[in-house]
Amino acid sequence: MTIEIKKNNQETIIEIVGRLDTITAPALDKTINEDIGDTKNLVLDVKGMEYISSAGLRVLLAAQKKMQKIGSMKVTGVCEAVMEVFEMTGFADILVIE
Amino acid sequence: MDVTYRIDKDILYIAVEGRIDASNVAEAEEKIFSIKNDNPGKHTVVDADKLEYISSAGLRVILRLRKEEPKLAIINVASDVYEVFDMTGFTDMVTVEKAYQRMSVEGCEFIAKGANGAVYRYDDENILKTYYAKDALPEIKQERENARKAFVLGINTAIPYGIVRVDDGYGTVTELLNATSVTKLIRNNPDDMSEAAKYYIDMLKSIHAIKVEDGEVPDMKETALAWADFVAPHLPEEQGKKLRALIEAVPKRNTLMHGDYHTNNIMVQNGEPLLIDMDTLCMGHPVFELGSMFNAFIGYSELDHQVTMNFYGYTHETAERFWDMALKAYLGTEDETVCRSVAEKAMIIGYTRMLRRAIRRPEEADSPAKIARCKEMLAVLLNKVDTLIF
Repeated sequence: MTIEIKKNNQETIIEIVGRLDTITAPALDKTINEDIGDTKNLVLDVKGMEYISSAGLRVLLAAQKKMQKIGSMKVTGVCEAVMEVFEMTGFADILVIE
Repeated sequence: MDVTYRIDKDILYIAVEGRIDASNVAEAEEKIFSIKNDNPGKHTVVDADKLEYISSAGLRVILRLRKEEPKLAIINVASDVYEVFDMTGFTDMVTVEKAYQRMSVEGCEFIAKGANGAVYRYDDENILKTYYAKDALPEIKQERENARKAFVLGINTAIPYGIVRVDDGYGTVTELLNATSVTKLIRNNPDDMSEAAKYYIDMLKSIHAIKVEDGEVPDMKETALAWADFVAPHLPEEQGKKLRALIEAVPKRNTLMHGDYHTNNIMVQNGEPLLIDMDTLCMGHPVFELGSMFNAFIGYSELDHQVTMNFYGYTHETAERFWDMALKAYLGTEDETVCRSVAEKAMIIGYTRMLRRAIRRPEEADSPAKIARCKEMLAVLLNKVDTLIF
């Protein structure tokens, strides 16, 4: 998995490519907690993310809870396989997906 | 095109087969509505298992059906038919459930057998749990809902992400965990269980730190009162009354509890405990949780120590020491008197539950011995304990 951070005035975009699983989830968690500064609007661009496990969902959930308090978070570019997991697990109702 | 129906548990299932298009839509409509009118007052579900195609004329029939049946559901919808429902906005108006993917356990490595199903390794990433009951769907949905709820509340767990068909029954797919269980940690090192106890109690505390709303999960106090009412006629009158009064006096709590918290249900992955099997989530005062833990470690195997070995693969003596350690860690004290006192409160709940269980199973050979043991212990404990609160 690779993570890339882009910033513009209004929002911080984190681009995630590859598999978000037990092995890679801690890296994303660290990025969200340490590297996004005081951004109020977080965008997770996941069009290159092909798989997500429970560990990955947990990081998204924690990020959602965190961002909800100070601003917003949205997830963009969700592929079909990942969308199915979001729907099955009820995450489609928890996350803002575009 | 063909339309048939069946009635199951007061629900009218109308099965539509083949293609519905302009050429046969009138006939389809006539058949569907005559079935509906012949079976008044039944909730209607359209079974689309064998529906291959539906045109916009066919969709209008569904719309008319929905007028008569505002809670209309369409189930077993193949993915290309689902797409039609989705694009036309039908999925927002009626409940449309996709058909479940078919999977087979043939050639899969068998992992374990549980009370309600068996678990197989499906591939490198997934495990497949099959259910013995053919109509396990409501049970599966409840289990998934509990897992999802627990996950969202912040408990570390793996949620099943797919329901599938296996032969003529159902199954769920969950990611394969690269994990060991607390049970295995104990088995591997029964002389030093401190690491196992830490994982076990850390997870328990994280569950008990969560507050849930009324009605989200069953209230254990109500369940325990029902146990007490069941066993009271089998006890001396004074004891029966005291048992009920003790449970009645436990304050209502909205603390989330697991309900079946034994070491097989806690996995360890990457140095973190992970909870599996969440079909018993409930809420209440922790004394009820400790009661079921006492049973899991000691109560159920007191008269036959082989029970522990068969279930956990460690000895009854190890289970006793682990219960002792776990209780100390949970209460945050090494004080034997304090721990003993809390254990006795938990034992009242444990023996009450076991007594009920044994009375209800007169066909089991060891029930009389269990009943005698529970009554004997309750007599001692009820004489000694004046409150279940700690």
